[in-house]
Amino acid sequence: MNCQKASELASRQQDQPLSLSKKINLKLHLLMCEHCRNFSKNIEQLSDSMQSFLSGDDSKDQKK
Amino acid sequence: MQSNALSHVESSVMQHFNDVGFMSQLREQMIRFTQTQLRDAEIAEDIVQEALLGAVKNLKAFAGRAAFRSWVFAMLKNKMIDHIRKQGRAPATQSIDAEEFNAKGSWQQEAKPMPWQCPEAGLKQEQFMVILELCLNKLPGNQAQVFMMREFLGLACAEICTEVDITESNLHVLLYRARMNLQKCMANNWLHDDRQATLQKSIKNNLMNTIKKGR
Ligand SMILES: [Zn+2]
Repeated sequence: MNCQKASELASRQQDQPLSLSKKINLKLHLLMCEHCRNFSKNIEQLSDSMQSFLSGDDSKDQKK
Repeated sequence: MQSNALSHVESSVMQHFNDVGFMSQLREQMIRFTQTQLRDAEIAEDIVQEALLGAVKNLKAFAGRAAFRSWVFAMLKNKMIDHIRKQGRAPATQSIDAEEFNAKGSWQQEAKPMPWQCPEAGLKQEQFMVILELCLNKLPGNQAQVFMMREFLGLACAEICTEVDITESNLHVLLYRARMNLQKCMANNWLHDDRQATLQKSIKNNLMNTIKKGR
């Protein structure tokens, strides 16, 4: 699996469960590849930040 | 009599399939032809494969190579039209020219994703959202629209597809492009300017507007 494919799967995983073999291939690639690991973490954070923004977690920050 | 006719047809088809030089040349030709319309090499190869398999399934006697070739190409043409109708053209080709990668699919030097600071490690939520909003505004309209439907509205993929009238695979491409662009933009515009934080209150409204505009 190359980085392009791995990053596509990392994105897809945010939207739907991957098949077992795809999941394993992606995991193996992420173990070896720092860049794709960064990409995967960044897009997860994108989603997490949006969720905590919506759920009002940001208000804690504002009060500080 | 009938089995005789069938075996004649079969041998006519197999004669072409067994000619390795001719077949590989034909296959190359078909792939080049397909790629003028569908730039994804993998999809192009799949379609060519389907068209060739069609030649086996729909057994028919061929007078010679030229007849066989034109018949297979006619089949290819139909497969391509089916594919374009099913996929919609523009987004399908969008994923291929991913400028972030080289020909082997490895990250280009300048596109390598860098780790972000975690909000827990001192990054303020509101700053994150300011930059996100800035970056969302730079996205092509359809990317921003589906990204916000998915991540902000939390809609399921099937629902987004119905709403925007695109196929599931187009949606995945759009979401991928959106995330790739956002990911890049966020890294390039990482602001630590506290003044930006004052904009935070307007963000929620702006985000809602982005979605309404898209719809
Ligand atoms: Zn990689």
